[in-house]
Amino acid sequence: MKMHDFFDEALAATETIQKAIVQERLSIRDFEITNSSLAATDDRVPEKSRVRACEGLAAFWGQYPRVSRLDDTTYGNDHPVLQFLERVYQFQAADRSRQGIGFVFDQMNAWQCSGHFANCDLALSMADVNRLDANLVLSFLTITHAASGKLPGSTTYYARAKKRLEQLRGKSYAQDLLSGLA
Amino acid sequence: MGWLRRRFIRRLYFPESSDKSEIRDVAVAIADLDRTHCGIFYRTAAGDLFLLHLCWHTILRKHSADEIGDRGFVWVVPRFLPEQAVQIAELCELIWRCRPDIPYALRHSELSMFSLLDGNFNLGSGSHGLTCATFVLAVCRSVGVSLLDLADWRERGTDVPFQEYVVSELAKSPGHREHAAVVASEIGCLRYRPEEVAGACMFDFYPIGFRAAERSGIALLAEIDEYYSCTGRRKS
Repeated sequence: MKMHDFFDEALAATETIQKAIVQERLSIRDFEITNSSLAATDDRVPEKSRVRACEGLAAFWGQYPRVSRLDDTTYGNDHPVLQFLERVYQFQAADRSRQGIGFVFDQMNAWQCSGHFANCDLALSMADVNRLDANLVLSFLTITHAASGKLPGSTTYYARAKKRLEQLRGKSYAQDLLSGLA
Repeated sequence: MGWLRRRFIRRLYFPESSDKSEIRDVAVAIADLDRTHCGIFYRTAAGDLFLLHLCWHTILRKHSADEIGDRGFVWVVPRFLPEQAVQIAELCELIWRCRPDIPYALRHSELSMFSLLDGNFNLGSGSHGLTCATFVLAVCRSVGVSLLDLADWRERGTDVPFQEYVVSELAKSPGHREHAAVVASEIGCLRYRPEEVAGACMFDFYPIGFRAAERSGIALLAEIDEYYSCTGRRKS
Protein backbone atom coordinates (compact mmCIF):
# COMPACT_ATOMS: atom_id res chain seq x y z
CA MET A 1 0.00 0.00 0.00
CA LYS A 2 1.33 3.42 -0.92
CA MET A 3 1.45 6.25 1.50
CA HIS A 4 -1.29 8.28 -0.13
CA ASP A 5 -3.53 5.20 -0.23
CA PHE A 6 -3.13 4.83 3.49
CA PHE A 7 -4.03 8.45 4.06
CA ASP A 8 -7.02 8.07 1.75
CA GLU A 9 -8.17 5.09 3.74
CA ALA A 10 -7.66 6.90 7.00
CA LEU A 11 -9.56 9.90 5.71
CA ALA A 12 -12.35 7.73 4.36
CA ALA A 13 -12.60 5.96 7.70
CA THR A 14 -12.78 9.27 9.50
CA GLU A 15 -15.56 10.46 7.24
CA THR A 16 -17.45 7.23 7.78
CA ILE A 17 -17.18 7.66 11.52
CA GLN A 18 -18.22 11.28 11.27
CA LYS A 19 -21.30 10.39 9.26
CA ALA A 20 -22.27 7.64 11.65
CA ILE A 21 -22.00 9.97 14.58
CA VAL A 22 -23.93 12.74 12.90
CA GLN A 23 -26.69 10.40 11.87
CA GLU A 24 -26.67 8.64 15.28
CA ARG A 25 -26.24 5.28 13.71
CA LEU A 26 -23.06 4.59 15.58
CA SER A 27 -22.21 1.31 17.16
CA ILE A 28 -19.03 0.22 18.87
CA ARG A 29 -18.76 -2.77 16.57
CA ASP A 30 -18.71 -0.58 13.46
CA PHE A 31 -15.65 1.15 14.78
CA GLU A 32 -13.90 -2.04 15.69
CA ILE A 33 -14.25 -3.25 12.13
CA THR A 34 -13.01 0.03 10.68
CA ASN A 35 -10.13 0.18 13.09
CA SER A 36 -9.07 -3.40 12.44
CA SER A 37 -8.87 -2.72 8.76
CA LEU A 38 -6.69 0.29 9.40
CA ALA A 39 -4.50 -1.61 11.80
CA ALA A 40 -3.98 -4.33 9.22
CA THR A 41 -2.45 -1.84 6.84
CA ASP A 42 -0.17 -0.37 9.48
CA ASP A 43 2.96 -2.40 8.82
CA ARG A 44 2.87 -1.70 5.10
CA VAL A 45 3.47 2.03 5.36
CA PRO A 46 6.38 3.92 6.89
CA GLU A 47 6.20 4.61 10.62
CA LYS A 48 5.99 8.38 10.18
CA SER A 49 3.05 8.13 7.81
CA ARG A 50 1.21 5.77 10.09
CA VAL A 51 1.65 8.06 13.02
CA ARG A 52 0.48 11.07 11.04
CA ALA A 53 -2.59 9.31 9.71
CA CYS A 54 -3.44 7.89 13.10
CA GLU A 55 -2.85 11.29 14.63
CA GLY A 56 -5.57 12.77 12.45
CA LEU A 57 -7.99 10.05 13.46
CA ALA A 58 -7.12 10.32 17.11
CA ALA A 59 -7.63 14.07 17.05
CA PHE A 60 -11.01 13.49 15.50
CA TRP A 61 -12.00 10.79 17.98
CA GLY A 62 -10.88 13.01 20.79
CA GLN A 63 -14.00 15.05 20.17
CA TYR A 64 -16.14 12.05 20.92
CA PRO A 65 -15.30 10.61 24.33
CA ARG A 66 -17.55 7.62 23.87
CA VAL A 67 -15.44 6.27 21.03
CA SER A 68 -12.02 7.33 22.23
CA ARG A 69 -11.33 3.98 23.89
CA LEU A 70 -11.46 2.34 20.48
CA ASP A 71 -8.04 3.74 19.74
CA ASP A 72 -6.70 0.54 21.28
CA THR A 73 -7.77 -1.40 18.22
CA THR A 74 -6.28 1.16 15.84
CA TYR A 75 -2.79 1.18 17.20
CA GLY A 76 -2.42 -2.26 18.67
CA ASN A 77 -1.51 -2.76 22.29
CA ASP A 78 2.19 -2.38 21.64
CA HIS A 79 1.95 1.24 20.50
CA PRO A 80 4.11 3.31 22.88
CA VAL A 81 1.34 5.81 23.55
CA LEU A 82 -1.06 3.08 24.56
CA GLN A 83 1.57 1.46 26.73
CA PHE A 84 2.25 4.81 28.32
CA LEU A 85 -1.42 5.47 29.03
CA GLU A 86 -1.90 1.97 30.38
CA ARG A 87 0.93 2.61 32.82
CA VAL A 88 -0.67 5.89 33.87
CA TYR A 89 -3.95 4.10 34.55
CA GLN A 90 -2.02 1.54 36.59
CA PHE A 91 -0.53 4.28 38.75
CA GLN A 92 -4.02 5.60 39.28
CA ALA A 93 -5.47 2.21 40.09
CA ALA A 94 -2.69 1.64 42.63
CA ASP A 95 -3.54 5.00 44.22
CA ARG A 96 -0.09 6.32 43.29
CA SER A 97 -1.17 9.33 41.31
CA ARG A 98 1.72 11.41 42.64
CA GLN A 99 4.20 8.99 41.07
CA GLY A 100 1.97 8.95 38.01
CA ILE A 101 2.42 12.70 37.58
CA GLY A 102 6.19 12.28 37.55
CA PHE A 103 5.80 9.51 35.00
CA VAL A 104 3.57 11.66 32.76
CA PHE A 105 5.99 14.58 32.97
CA ASP A 106 9.02 12.42 32.22
CA GLN A 107 7.52 10.50 29.32
CA MET A 108 5.91 13.49 27.62
CA ASN A 109 9.15 15.42 28.00
CA ALA A 110 11.24 12.51 26.70
CA TRP A 111 9.06 12.20 23.61
CA GLN A 112 9.43 15.83 22.86
CA CYS A 113 13.16 15.93 23.40
CA SER A 114 13.63 12.92 21.11
CA GLY A 115 11.49 14.41 18.35
CA HIS A 116 8.41 12.25 18.93
CA PHE A 117 6.16 15.24 19.36
CA ALA A 118 3.22 13.48 17.70
CA ASN A 119 3.13 11.01 20.58
CA CYS A 120 2.38 13.85 23.00
CA ASP A 121 -0.56 14.89 20.88
CA LEU A 122 -1.77 11.32 20.57
CA ALA A 123 -1.56 10.88 24.32
CA LEU A 124 -3.71 13.97 24.82
CA SER A 125 -6.23 12.73 22.30
CA MET A 126 -6.40 9.24 23.69
CA ALA A 127 -6.18 9.78 27.42
CA ASP A 128 -9.32 8.59 29.15
CA VAL A 129 -9.80 11.30 31.76
CA ASN A 130 -12.56 9.31 33.42
CA ARG A 131 -9.93 6.86 34.62
CA LEU A 132 -7.81 9.61 36.19
CA ASP A 133 -8.03 11.69 39.36
CA ALA A 134 -7.73 15.48 39.41
CA ASN A 135 -3.93 15.44 39.86
CA LEU A 136 -3.33 13.23 36.86
CA VAL A 137 -5.90 14.99 34.69
CA LEU A 138 -4.12 18.23 35.47
CA SER A 139 -0.65 16.80 34.82
CA PHE A 140 -1.31 16.44 31.08
CA LEU A 141 -2.41 20.06 30.91
CA THR A 142 0.52 21.31 32.95
CA ILE A 143 3.20 19.59 30.93
CA THR A 144 1.73 20.64 27.60
CA HIS A 145 0.68 24.12 28.69
CA ALA A 146 3.53 26.07 27.07
CA ALA A 147 3.27 24.02 23.88
CA SER A 148 -0.52 23.80 23.65
CA GLY A 149 -0.61 25.92 20.47
CA LYS A 150 1.36 23.22 18.69
CA LEU A 151 -0.72 20.31 19.95
CA PRO A 152 -4.05 19.96 18.14
CA GLY A 153 -5.19 17.40 20.70
CA SER A 154 -4.87 19.89 23.55
CA THR A 155 -8.14 21.68 22.76
CA THR A 156 -10.27 18.59 23.05
CA TYR A 157 -8.26 17.39 26.04
CA TYR A 158 -8.89 20.67 27.82
CA ALA A 159 -12.64 20.33 27.25
CA ARG A 160 -12.66 16.78 28.56
CA ALA A 161 -10.43 17.69 31.49
CA LYS A 162 -12.72 20.57 32.43
CA LYS A 163 -15.74 18.31 32.44
CA ARG A 164 -13.93 15.69 34.51
CA LEU A 165 -12.60 18.21 37.03
CA GLU A 166 -16.06 19.73 37.42
CA GLN A 167 -17.35 16.26 38.11
CA LEU A 168 -14.62 15.59 40.69
CA ARG A 169 -14.27 18.98 42.37
CA GLY A 170 -17.23 21.12 41.39
CA LYS A 171 -17.48 23.93 38.87
CA SER A 172 -15.92 26.74 40.87
CA TYR A 173 -12.91 24.71 42.02
CA ALA A 174 -12.35 23.37 38.50
CA GLN A 175 -12.45 26.93 37.22
CA ASP A 176 -9.76 27.93 39.73
CA LEU A 177 -7.59 25.00 38.70
CA LEU A 178 -7.93 25.65 35.01
CA SER A 179 -8.03 29.44 34.80
CA GLY A 180 -4.28 29.75 34.30
CA LEU A 181 -4.03 26.83 31.91
CA ALA A 182 -6.52 27.88 29.24
CA MET B 1 12.77 35.87 70.74
CA GLY B 2 11.11 38.57 68.72
CA TRP B 3 11.08 36.39 65.66
CA LEU B 4 8.30 34.46 67.32
CA ARG B 5 6.19 37.24 65.89
CA ARG B 6 5.96 34.89 62.98
CA ARG B 7 2.60 34.08 64.42
CA PHE B 8 1.49 37.40 63.05
CA ILE B 9 2.99 36.79 59.67
CA ARG B 10 0.99 34.02 58.21
CA ARG B 11 2.69 30.98 56.76
CA LEU B 12 6.19 32.19 57.54
CA TYR B 13 8.48 29.56 59.06
CA PHE B 14 11.98 29.66 60.55
CA PRO B 15 14.49 26.80 60.76
CA GLU B 16 14.78 26.89 64.54
CA SER B 17 11.10 26.42 65.06
CA SER B 18 10.23 24.01 62.32
CA ASP B 19 11.01 20.51 61.10
CA LYS B 20 9.70 21.55 57.68
CA SER B 21 6.80 19.14 58.02
CA GLU B 22 4.50 22.05 57.22
CA ILE B 23 5.84 21.91 53.67
CA ARG B 24 3.47 19.36 52.29
CA ASP B 25 4.35 19.98 48.66
CA VAL B 26 5.92 23.40 48.08
CA ALA B 27 7.08 26.56 49.83
CA VAL B 28 8.92 29.65 48.69
CA ALA B 29 12.24 30.02 50.48
CA ILE B 30 13.98 33.34 51.01
CA ALA B 31 17.30 34.39 52.53
CA ASP B 32 18.65 37.89 53.12
CA LEU B 33 22.27 37.37 54.07
CA ASP B 34 24.29 38.87 51.25
CA ARG B 35 21.49 39.92 48.97
CA THR B 36 17.93 38.76 49.06
CA HIS B 37 17.59 35.47 47.28
CA CYS B 38 14.70 33.07 46.81
CA GLY B 39 13.90 29.61 45.53
CA ILE B 40 11.36 26.82 45.82
CA PHE B 41 11.26 24.16 48.49
CA TYR B 42 9.48 21.12 47.11
CA ARG B 43 8.71 17.66 48.40
CA THR B 44 9.07 14.66 46.10
CA ALA B 45 6.66 11.74 45.85
CA ALA B 46 9.10 9.83 48.09
CA GLY B 47 8.77 12.54 50.74
CA ASP B 48 12.23 14.07 50.36
CA LEU B 49 12.54 17.82 50.56
CA PHE B 50 14.70 19.86 48.18
CA LEU B 51 15.41 23.48 47.38
CA LEU B 52 15.57 24.45 43.71
CA HIS B 53 16.87 27.92 42.94
CA LEU B 54 18.47 29.93 40.18
CA CYS B 55 21.75 31.07 41.69
CA TRP B 56 23.20 32.99 38.80
CA HIS B 57 23.64 33.02 35.04
CA THR B 58 22.97 29.43 33.85
CA ILE B 59 23.52 28.13 37.38
CA LEU B 60 20.54 26.22 38.65
CA ARG B 61 21.01 24.43 41.95
CA LYS B 62 19.18 21.75 43.86
CA HIS B 63 19.96 21.05 47.51
CA SER B 64 18.49 18.58 49.93
CA ALA B 65 16.96 20.08 53.06
CA ASP B 66 19.94 18.72 55.02
CA GLU B 67 22.44 20.42 52.70
CA ILE B 68 20.63 23.70 53.13
CA GLY B 69 20.87 23.32 56.89
CA ASP B 70 20.93 26.75 58.36
CA ARG B 71 21.99 28.97 55.51
CA GLY B 72 19.59 31.66 56.53
CA PHE B 73 16.61 30.49 54.54
CA VAL B 74 13.16 31.00 55.95
CA TRP B 75 10.11 29.93 54.02
CA VAL B 76 6.54 30.80 53.31
CA VAL B 77 3.98 28.11 52.58
CA PRO B 78 1.62 29.50 49.95
CA ARG B 79 -2.05 28.76 49.80
CA PHE B 80 -2.02 27.08 46.40
CA LEU B 81 -4.73 24.59 45.57
CA PRO B 82 -3.37 21.15 46.58
CA GLU B 83 -3.38 19.93 42.99
CA GLN B 84 -1.42 22.97 41.85
CA ALA B 85 1.13 22.54 44.62
CA VAL B 86 1.69 18.92 43.59
CA GLN B 87 2.18 19.93 39.96
CA ILE B 88 4.76 22.54 40.99
CA ALA B 89 6.66 19.98 43.06
CA GLU B 90 6.76 17.47 40.22
CA LEU B 91 7.65 20.19 37.72
CA CYS B 92 10.61 21.19 39.89
CA GLU B 93 11.85 17.60 39.73
CA LEU B 94 11.47 17.56 35.95
CA ILE B 95 13.21 20.91 35.57
CA TRP B 96 16.13 19.61 37.58
CA ARG B 97 16.32 16.47 35.47
CA CYS B 98 16.32 18.61 32.31
CA ARG B 99 18.95 20.99 33.77
CA PRO B 100 18.03 23.83 31.43
CA ASP B 101 20.55 26.60 30.78
CA ILE B 102 18.69 29.55 32.24
CA PRO B 103 20.29 32.89 31.48
CA TYR B 104 20.24 35.49 34.22
CA ALA B 105 18.53 38.67 33.04
CA LEU B 106 16.36 41.44 34.40
CA ARG B 107 13.31 41.94 32.22
CA HIS B 108 10.54 39.44 32.83
CA SER B 109 7.68 38.39 30.61
CA GLU B 110 4.47 36.93 31.95
CA LEU B 111 4.73 34.37 29.17
CA SER B 112 7.96 32.95 30.55
CA MET B 113 7.38 29.36 31.58
CA PHE B 114 8.91 25.93 31.40
CA SER B 115 8.31 24.45 28.00
CA LEU B 116 7.97 20.87 26.94
CA LEU B 117 9.15 21.94 23.51
CA ASP B 118 12.82 21.83 24.40
CA GLY B 119 13.00 21.07 28.12
CA ASN B 120 13.98 24.67 28.71
CA PHE B 121 12.32 27.90 29.70
CA ASN B 122 10.36 29.67 27.01
CA LEU B 123 11.22 33.23 27.94
CA GLY B 124 8.46 35.14 26.23
CA SER B 125 9.01 38.19 24.09
CA GLY B 126 11.42 40.84 25.33
CA SER B 127 12.91 38.63 28.02
CA HIS B 128 16.48 37.36 27.92
CA GLY B 129 16.49 35.36 31.11
CA LEU B 130 15.26 35.06 34.65
CA THR B 131 16.33 36.15 38.11
CA CYS B 132 15.95 34.00 41.21
CA ALA B 133 12.60 35.71 41.82
CA THR B 134 11.26 35.49 38.28
CA PHE B 135 12.39 31.85 38.18
CA VAL B 136 9.90 31.19 40.98
CA LEU B 137 7.25 33.20 39.12
CA ALA B 138 7.91 31.28 35.89
CA VAL B 139 7.68 27.88 37.59
CA CYS B 140 4.38 28.85 39.21
CA ARG B 141 3.13 30.28 35.92
CA SER B 142 3.96 26.98 34.22
CA VAL B 143 1.22 25.28 36.22
CA GLY B 144 -1.18 28.17 35.74
CA VAL B 145 -0.52 30.07 38.97
CA SER B 146 0.17 33.80 38.62
CA LEU B 147 1.62 34.88 41.95
CA LEU B 148 2.01 38.56 41.11
CA ASP B 149 -0.15 40.87 39.07
CA LEU B 150 2.60 41.92 36.67
CA ALA B 151 0.37 44.42 34.89
CA ASP B 152 0.11 46.34 38.15
CA TRP B 153 3.89 46.63 38.61
CA ARG B 154 5.75 49.94 38.73
CA GLU B 155 9.24 51.09 38.00
CA ARG B 156 11.32 52.10 41.01
CA GLY B 157 14.48 54.10 40.88
CA THR B 158 15.69 52.16 43.91
CA ASP B 159 15.92 49.03 41.76
CA VAL B 160 18.54 50.52 39.44
CA PRO B 161 21.58 49.98 41.72
CA PHE B 162 20.76 46.28 41.96
CA GLN B 163 20.33 46.06 38.19
CA GLU B 164 23.65 47.81 37.61
CA TYR B 165 25.28 45.43 40.06
CA VAL B 166 23.98 42.44 38.10
CA VAL B 167 25.38 43.82 34.85
CA SER B 168 28.77 44.58 36.39
CA GLU B 169 28.99 41.09 37.90
CA LEU B 170 28.07 39.47 34.59
CA ALA B 171 30.64 41.58 32.76
CA LYS B 172 33.39 40.34 35.08
CA SER B 173 33.24 36.93 33.47
CA PRO B 174 34.76 36.99 29.96
CA GLY B 175 32.31 34.38 28.75
CA HIS B 176 29.34 36.44 29.84
CA ARG B 177 30.26 39.86 28.45
CA GLU B 178 28.04 39.63 25.43
CA HIS B 179 25.13 38.64 27.62
CA ALA B 180 26.01 41.42 30.05
CA ALA B 181 25.62 43.92 27.22
CA VAL B 182 22.15 42.60 26.49
CA VAL B 183 21.20 42.76 30.17
CA ALA B 184 22.59 46.30 30.41
CA SER B 185 19.90 47.38 27.97
CA GLU B 186 17.31 46.20 30.51
CA ILE B 187 18.44 48.48 33.33
CA GLY B 188 15.49 50.51 34.54
CA CYS B 189 12.94 47.79 33.76
CA LEU B 190 10.38 46.52 36.26
CA ARG B 191 11.84 44.47 39.06
CA TYR B 192 10.08 41.75 41.00
CA ARG B 193 12.01 41.43 44.23
CA PRO B 194 12.53 38.10 45.99
CA GLU B 195 10.84 39.38 49.15
CA GLU B 196 7.82 40.43 47.10
CA VAL B 197 7.52 37.01 45.51
CA ALA B 198 7.82 35.31 48.91
CA GLY B 199 5.65 37.98 50.52
CA ALA B 200 2.88 37.38 48.00
CA CYS B 201 2.69 33.80 49.24
CA MET B 202 1.33 35.04 52.54
CA PHE B 203 -1.94 36.02 50.93
CA ASP B 204 -4.93 33.79 50.33
CA PHE B 205 -5.57 34.66 46.71
CA TYR B 206 -3.37 35.34 43.72
CA PRO B 207 -2.24 37.29 41.82
CA ILE B 208 -1.10 39.97 44.27
CA GLY B 209 -0.85 43.59 43.19
CA PHE B 210 2.20 45.82 43.46
CA ARG B 211 1.35 47.71 46.66
CA ALA B 212 0.31 44.64 48.64
CA ALA B 213 3.35 42.66 47.53
CA GLU B 214 5.68 45.55 48.26
CA ARG B 215 4.29 46.02 51.77
CA SER B 216 4.32 42.32 52.40
CA GLY B 217 7.94 42.15 51.21
CA ILE B 218 9.00 44.93 53.57
CA ALA B 219 7.27 43.22 56.50
CA LEU B 220 8.88 39.93 55.57
CA LEU B 221 12.38 41.42 55.48
CA ALA B 222 11.78 43.01 58.87
CA GLU B 223 10.85 39.62 60.28
CA ILE B 224 13.91 38.00 58.73
CA ASP B 225 16.15 40.77 60.07
CA GLU B 226 14.81 40.27 63.54
CA TYR B 227 15.20 36.53 63.26
CA TYR B 228 18.82 36.94 62.18
CA SER B 229 19.46 39.28 65.12
CA CYS B 230 17.93 36.84 67.58
CA THR B 231 19.97 33.94 66.25
CA GLY B 232 23.24 35.86 66.18
CA ARG B 233 23.44 35.86 62.42
CA ARG B 234 24.89 38.93 60.79
CA LYS B 235 24.02 40.30 57.41
CA SER B 236 27.06 41.02 55.33
